[in-house]
Amino acid sequence: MHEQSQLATLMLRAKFLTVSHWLLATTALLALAACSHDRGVRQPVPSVYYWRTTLSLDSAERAFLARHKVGRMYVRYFDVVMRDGRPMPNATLQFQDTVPQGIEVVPTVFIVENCLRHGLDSVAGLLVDRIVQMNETNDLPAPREVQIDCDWTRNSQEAYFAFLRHVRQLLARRGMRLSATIRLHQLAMEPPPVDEGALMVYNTGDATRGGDHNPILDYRDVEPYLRYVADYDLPLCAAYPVFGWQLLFSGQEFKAILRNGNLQDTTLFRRLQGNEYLVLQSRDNPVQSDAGDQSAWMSAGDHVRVWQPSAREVERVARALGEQRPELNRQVIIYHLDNKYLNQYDNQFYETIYHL
Amino acid sequence: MTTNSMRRFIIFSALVATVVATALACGPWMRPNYYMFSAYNRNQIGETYTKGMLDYWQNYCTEADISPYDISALSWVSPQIDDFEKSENELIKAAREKNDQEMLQYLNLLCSYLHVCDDVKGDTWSYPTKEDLDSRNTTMNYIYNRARSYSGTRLKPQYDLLAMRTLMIKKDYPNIIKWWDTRVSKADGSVFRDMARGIYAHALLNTGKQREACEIYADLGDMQSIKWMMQDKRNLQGIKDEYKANPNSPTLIFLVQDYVNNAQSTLESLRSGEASLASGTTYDGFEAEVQQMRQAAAGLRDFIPFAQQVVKEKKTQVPALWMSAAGHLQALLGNNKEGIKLLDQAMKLKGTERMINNARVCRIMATVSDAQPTAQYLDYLKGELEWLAYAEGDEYDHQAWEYGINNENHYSEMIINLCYDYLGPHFIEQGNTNLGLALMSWCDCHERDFYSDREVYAYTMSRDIFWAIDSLTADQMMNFQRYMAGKPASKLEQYLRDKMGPNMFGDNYFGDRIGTKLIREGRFDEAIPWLEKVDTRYLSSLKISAYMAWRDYKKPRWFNNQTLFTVHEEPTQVKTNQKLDFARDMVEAIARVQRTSGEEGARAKYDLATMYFQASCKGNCWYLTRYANSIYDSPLEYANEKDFVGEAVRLLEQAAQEATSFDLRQRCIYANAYIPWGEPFVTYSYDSDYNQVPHYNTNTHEYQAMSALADFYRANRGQCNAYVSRCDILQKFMD
Repeated sequence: MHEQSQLATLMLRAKFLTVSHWLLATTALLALAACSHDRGVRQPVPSVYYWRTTLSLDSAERAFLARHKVGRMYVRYFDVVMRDGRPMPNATLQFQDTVPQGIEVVPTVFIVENCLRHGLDSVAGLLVDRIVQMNETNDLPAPREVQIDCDWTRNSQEAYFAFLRHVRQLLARRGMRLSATIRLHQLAMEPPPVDEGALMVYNTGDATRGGDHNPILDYRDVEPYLRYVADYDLPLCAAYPVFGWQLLFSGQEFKAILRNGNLQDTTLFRRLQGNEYLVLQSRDNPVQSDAGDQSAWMSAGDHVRVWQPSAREVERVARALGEQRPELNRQVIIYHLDNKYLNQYDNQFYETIYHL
Repeated sequence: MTTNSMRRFIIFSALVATVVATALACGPWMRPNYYMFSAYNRNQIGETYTKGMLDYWQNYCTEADISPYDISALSWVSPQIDDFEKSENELIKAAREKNDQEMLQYLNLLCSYLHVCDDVKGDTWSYPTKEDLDSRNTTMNYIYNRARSYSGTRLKPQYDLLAMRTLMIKKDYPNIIKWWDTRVSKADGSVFRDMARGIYAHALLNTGKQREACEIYADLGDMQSIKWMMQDKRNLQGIKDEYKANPNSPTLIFLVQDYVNNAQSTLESLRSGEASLASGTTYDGFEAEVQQMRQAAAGLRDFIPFAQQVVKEKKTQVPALWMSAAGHLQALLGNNKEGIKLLDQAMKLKGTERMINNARVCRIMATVSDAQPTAQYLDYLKGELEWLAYAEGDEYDHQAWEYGINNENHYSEMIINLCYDYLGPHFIEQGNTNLGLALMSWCDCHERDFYSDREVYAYTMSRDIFWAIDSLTADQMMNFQRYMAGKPASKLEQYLRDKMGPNMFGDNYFGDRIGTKLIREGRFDEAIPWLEKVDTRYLSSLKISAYMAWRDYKKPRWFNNQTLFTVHEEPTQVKTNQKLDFARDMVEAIARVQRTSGEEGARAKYDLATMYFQASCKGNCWYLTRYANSIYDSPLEYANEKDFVGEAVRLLEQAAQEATSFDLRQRCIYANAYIPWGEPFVTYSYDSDYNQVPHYNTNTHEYQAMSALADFYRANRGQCNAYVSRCDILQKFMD
């Protein structure tokens, strides 16, 4: 919508130009229109990621979607991992609930990078068929877009791109588009062969290292990549973080990401300063793990560092990126829809971030 | 870190990079400090039904050994008639062989159910269609209806479980509860009923009855489920709340044990923090953190009056649990006498047999830090060791061991902790070395017998006794030998000796050990009679025999590195005792040095230096003075060790002075420059561009020996042998 109104204004002004200027102006307008169309994603709407293994929305999450007129949910359908020597689906989403009407579901598949070394191309057809079947079985309309998430590197780029080309071709036959997540470090590389990209503006640091950089989002970690954003040759939207981590360290050694550690329990934790907590009692504690219920050993004397990006920091980064590439923020995806974190930011933040 | 543990750490670090004489295995430094408090069997975690199920099927399949695989593999059997009827699955085969149609029908339904369950997991490329889902529902309904219509009695528990499982797949919690209440709750006990009860608990959990669900899990011994459900109650307040709600809640057993064992770990962490503080290996703010940990640890004490209050209120049916937890915590906090008093009371209170046994174990552990080898204490200890060994046997589940399922033995762990970590080292530190060693040796021997392990542990690096004996001097070892051969001074010592038997330490063992230690201390003539007692068959059974068979201590290390590519450190047949040959040769070589002079004297010194260096920790024949070697070993690793490397240097310097022939002088100067002794002559740092910057230390032996070699080379450039003229290190040094 924004692109169309911009175009109309420019055309109105063009009426007053001389004929000699007309050709030049037309060329410029076409170029601008084309350029504008290419740099932002199609039909941008406020969006969210849904990254749990069971689709079940509580009332607060539904209220959030309605309040912010969220139009698109990127829903993690399954992961692809190596199992028994071949790429296999894992942690498939259980549909226990429906997505509110009017919200487009974009099936999203996370591919573990080591699958790329084992002939992932052979599963492109299986992957597309499975996504389509998942929608059909669960009474969802056929998807218009599929998104692939993978932390590919230069070493795996060739295999990944070949896989994406294959998937894109298969989707195109069904009238669907392909998008992919783009990590900041991937901005310096060739864009993947997809229709659109979602720039992941989170997990910007190394969670396993200490220091004062927020590993979820820190402007200092984003800044070196700003110069690549403007010229990145792929229509892009941006995904910003709304989540937190409790990182358990023993000295400088990273141990685990705690799951719901009750930091208010003063018999177990004592706040030291800032985001740092001291573990007072040794015990095992649940941790975030792809392998189901797992726990990590917490020793008295260990430290827990709590990281959650501030609204201010998210906005600062979003504006800095927007300055480089205004179309980027036309569609913002919040990562991720989870009541536990949603209410830790106020409405003003969401209004701002969704309408930059 | 103590010297001993530092040494262990260094050796451990070096294992990968160096040749060792003994088997590489998990060393004692990897052994956890086991939890002492065990009011319920930890094997229950994660294995709630496995054993019961295996027992049932093993009992049914009399002709085959059943494993967990046979049960899980049922899901791979297609319930289609042909496949099912030809199945080689042991359970199906057994039913078929017995022509047990009733069981075959049940197994067929079970296979159908397991098939659907596998489908429901859904992690295959083929995602189910609506028709597939309908078909699944139809199958589930069919299984449910068949289970409901089963009118027999023999397999009723199985069919009840099957019906409840199908309801579980549908998440039909109200009907699960109804089924349990009306059909299963009053049935006789069986593993199938237990599993059904677990499903019932799950249904309660999902209908808002968390406490009831948790109590069932506790009753079933499903500690894993409780652990997850009680995540926020794993503290004193949580225990108080639970007690208030139900003083006899089975969940309390888990919560109390969890609390006390976590307290044990917390106090260990605090001790580690205090040690770091004392050694100065800290960072800014560390002291304040330790202070906070101290305060938190002091707060653990609050449990004690609460537990005593619980006992006083008499609402609990297991006061022994509470009193033993209070007593154990007192002891952990350092109040041993008070702790023992409470544990004595606990043993007289009501509780399960496990709880009373637990109090007894905690009491033994509470005695160790103040233990004195009085007759009274040693008698007590004898009785408790006997009882622990009995309890260990009682806990040992041969069948579980055969099944390959979790089978940790709490009493084995306590015996190991008691002897290896507490009493053994405690008595050695007190100066009662022989008693400490005897306890550790007994533990070693006991474990070997209990787990039918034939390895001679005292020669295995992974055992504490290896290191305890390895660090003794020759005189201490002879003292231990006399002690073991003498009359026992107490009933405990008699017991230990009886249990160890005569083969634990024989003449071969003591002869080899003492002989080796005497060689290490330079007492070669004294070593000979000990080594003469050692049979070559015995030596051939040791892993160091591989080196003995292939290496020669008379070949100069500086001209030849005797590597070992073919034998891979496996015991090798030896024809002679090389240690004995070495001791005799050393006696002779030393005498030769004393009786000769001039060129011949220099030659004698060079030969003696060659042998000294080869038998040192830096030489190829290190196995003559030790049983394991590391590149980090120093020439003075052991108490009373003679500095073989220093001795070689001294002899080579003298020989270089005295030699009249060019060849011998050249050899001596070169050998002296080769030997790494003292500080290295060059160390490196890095500049801001990460370039190596060398720093030469001219005061070191290495620098002076290299300078002497450089001077010799410059003075005799045309005449030097290739090993000097082509020495790249020398060239680099001269550059």
